[in-house]
Amino acid sequence: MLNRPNLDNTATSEDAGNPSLPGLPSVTFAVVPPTDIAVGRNGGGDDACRLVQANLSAYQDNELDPDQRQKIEAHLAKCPECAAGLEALQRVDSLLEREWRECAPLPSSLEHKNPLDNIMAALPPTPAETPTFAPKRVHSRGRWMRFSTGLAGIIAFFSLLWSSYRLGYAHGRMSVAAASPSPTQYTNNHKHSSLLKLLPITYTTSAIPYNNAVTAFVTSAPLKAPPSPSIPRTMR
Amino acid sequence: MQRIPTDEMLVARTLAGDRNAFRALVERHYNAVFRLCRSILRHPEDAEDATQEVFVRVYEALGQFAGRGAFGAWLRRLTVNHCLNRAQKTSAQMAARSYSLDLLADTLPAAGEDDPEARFWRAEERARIQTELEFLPPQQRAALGLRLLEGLSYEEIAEMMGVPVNSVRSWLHRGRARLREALEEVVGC
Repeated sequence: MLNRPNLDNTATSEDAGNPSLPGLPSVTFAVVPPTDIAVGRNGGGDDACRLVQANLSAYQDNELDPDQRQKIEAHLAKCPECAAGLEALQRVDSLLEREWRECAPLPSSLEHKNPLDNIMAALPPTPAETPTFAPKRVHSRGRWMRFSTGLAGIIAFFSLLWSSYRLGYAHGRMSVAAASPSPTQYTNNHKHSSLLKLLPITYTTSAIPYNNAVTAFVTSAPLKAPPSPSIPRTMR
Repeated sequence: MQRIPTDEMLVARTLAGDRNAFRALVERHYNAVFRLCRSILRHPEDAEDATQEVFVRVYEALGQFAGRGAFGAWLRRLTVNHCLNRAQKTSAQMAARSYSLDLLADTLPAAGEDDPEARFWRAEERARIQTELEFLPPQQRAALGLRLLEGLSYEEIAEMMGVPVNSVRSWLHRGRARLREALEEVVGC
């Protein structure tokens, strides 16, 4: 767990307090410039030291990739100041760890009994939620319900669309038929629409000129078989 | 030989109504949760209160755990979230305690060290550390605690705290740098 190398080097230098250095390529945190870093204070100056100092925390946590790690180690071998910085960080870590570990109560101590009793006394009678150790089952059922509802909606929508298209188609046929010189005729729309056959309506059309338009009425009426239409030859 | 029940078995028994199973869970994880709370919160009393609150919340939300992942990881995540929320609330109310004789007295170790002078210097060192820790932002303390106490990687800490990995990297870098500077005399570098 501790020794997992970190592959994510996408942070900006600002985010990590990493110095941006003139004359060096754009530096992202935990990415060490290939040449200058290992030179050290004696040969490379402060720039390399600043970069190493900015990466020491990640180095200490073993979160640098092997190449970066190697370069930092090469620098530390030559630069006593940066090596001392690393020692200081290690000392900070050990102090913190000791501080936090020492302040924790021991399980066997008398102090520990009291908080435990307090916790048990503060608990509600039962856990708020019922056991849900089969989340997949519940989840899949819910998903199926959503899916079937959606499917039913889609089917209903297309049925309506289809029937309205058929009605419109019938209307168009009737309009054309009525506009022809021959008397008002039924179109044979009932042949195209099986749904229409099931409906308890009959179609009555009247070619009433109204603003130069022909209106078709669909009226509710007792069940009556529509008359067999005779389509004029011009319509075929 | 009696088999030691796993966390998940104890959770299942708790959900079935066995309160003693939950007591066993608390006993098992109390110290780890307390240490984590202590690393994030400023005062030991806060950490103790937060630990109790965390376990009560765990009990209330145990059904939501639902056996997904490890109980320990879920508990840690809940602890970190709870402590960060608590730290945000209390930071406005409470000023950091200054370095004082009271704090020094709090940090005196028990009768483990015979040399009075060594005890005094150790107590002073602890008081200094506690004082400086109080000035660290809660996120930096949480990242340090998860790293040093739990040994989590940057990626795991980021996942637990719901932040990018680079934020964790930054918090750890800044937290350590600040402590190093503040504790220069103690650290000795």
